[in-house]
Amino acid sequence: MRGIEVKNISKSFKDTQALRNVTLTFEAGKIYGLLGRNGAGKSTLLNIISNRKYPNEGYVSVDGMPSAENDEALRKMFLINEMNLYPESMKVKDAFKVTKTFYSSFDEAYALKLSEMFELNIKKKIKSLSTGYQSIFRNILALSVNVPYVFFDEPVLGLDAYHRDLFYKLLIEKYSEDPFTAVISTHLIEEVANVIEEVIIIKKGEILKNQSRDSILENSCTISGTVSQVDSYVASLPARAEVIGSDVIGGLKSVYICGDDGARLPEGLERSTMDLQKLFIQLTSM
Amino acid sequence: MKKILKYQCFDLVKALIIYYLVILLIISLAVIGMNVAGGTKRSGLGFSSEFFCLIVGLCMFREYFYLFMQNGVSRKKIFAGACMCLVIFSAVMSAMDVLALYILEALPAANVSYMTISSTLYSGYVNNAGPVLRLLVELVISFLVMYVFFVAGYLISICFYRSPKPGKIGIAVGLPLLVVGGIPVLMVAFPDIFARLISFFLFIMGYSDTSSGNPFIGMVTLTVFSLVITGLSYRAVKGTQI
Repeated sequence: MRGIEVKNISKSFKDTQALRNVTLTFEAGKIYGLLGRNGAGKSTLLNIISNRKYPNEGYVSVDGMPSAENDEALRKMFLINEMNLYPESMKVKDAFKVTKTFYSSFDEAYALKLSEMFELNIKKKIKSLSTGYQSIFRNILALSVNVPYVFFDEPVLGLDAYHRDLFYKLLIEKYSEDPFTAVISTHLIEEVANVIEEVIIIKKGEILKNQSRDSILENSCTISGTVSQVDSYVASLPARAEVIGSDVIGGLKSVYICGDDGARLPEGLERSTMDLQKLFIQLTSM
Repeated sequence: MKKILKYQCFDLVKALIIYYLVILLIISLAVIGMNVAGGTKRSGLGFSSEFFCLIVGLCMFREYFYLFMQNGVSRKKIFAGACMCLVIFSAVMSAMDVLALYILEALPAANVSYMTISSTLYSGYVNNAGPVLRLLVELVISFLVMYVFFVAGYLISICFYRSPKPGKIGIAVGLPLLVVGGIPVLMVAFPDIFARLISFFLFIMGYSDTSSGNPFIGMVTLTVFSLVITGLSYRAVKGTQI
């Protein structure tokens, strides 16, 4: 089977349960958004998939091979996160060379081209780079490594708007030339919403949603009207519809619904689409 | 595996070259000093190699572990690469030390001798052995001692990395304090126990103050030490997480 399969993963740190029985699949050639609030377990999940941490229970397989301590499986993945694992005294250009040593598919020329585009000084030591440029350095590595599964954990940390935009453009460009599985874990949902195809929402170590972005948004909406009208509409909803949140301002009420079938609304009520950020906030605020 | 080994060897060889340049400088100064001032110097420089090994072992875990984990290498490969690197460096350094010993022995006019563990512990044995056997004993004992120091440093650095903050402080402060202050104080406080411990250590190393000693017992002991510390290091690396 192609793809990454995460099966019944649980992980705890002392008295904190970081992941609870997580099961999901990352299919080959798709861009995933891994969304969750701080401490939801996103980074722990990515660290377990890439063999940096061990789960307490469960297993991960990559293209049918167990990933734990399996060099063949590990060579198919590349994870970047806020932690710099390259020696601090190493220069950027040397880091490119070292990566090329381990990943023969690493495109050094492309990495140099991206460095120019981002105005990253490759003669500088990694430790002397600013927070933003350290993120750029890691993003360049991830975009140039050319492996089937790339995990971006907070890739735009410290990046200005121009560099964030450039990063997303390059990611889409790279993906359209040669599709690979990209998993983007970020807090900037509005920005990433147009890039991702699949959405995974994680809360307190559990997967809340794992669907395509289009289907999750198509089935979600906001219904607004007077409090009594909205309440009676909610009472008439089919069982599969789920009210994930509500706001009341004066006599007006808005409810956020997942699984709405788009039936004709009674007079006085209004249906509007929900964006991914709003959906995320409602799902994770409870 | 070749890539990991190559990267580590190329990285560490700079430190090795600097170390032997410093040793060369010290020997040269000692030779000049002894010839100007007169007298003979029995130099313990050979023992500094063991400390160099310990320090390299202490420094090499975290940086390489992080780099290799970032680049999709499993822990078992990281460990195997580190061990092979330590074996190569132990072999090179033992050859260098034995070479220094022989060169300074061949130059009595230099008035400086370069002592190694084997030439000190088994002086009676190596002085009476044939040239080939002597060379083998010197090389093997030096190699094993250096490997033990390397891998001991490596194990300490993994324990340091894996320890919580109090444990890190304990290792960083406690270990040097124990060596510099604790052991001498305990030696004064419990002289009989320490005398027995030292006798036991010398016994398992095949040292004898009444005969020429048996370096082969030392070889067996050092091999056992190497295997035990290597095994413990493997277990420690396998359980290490980022």
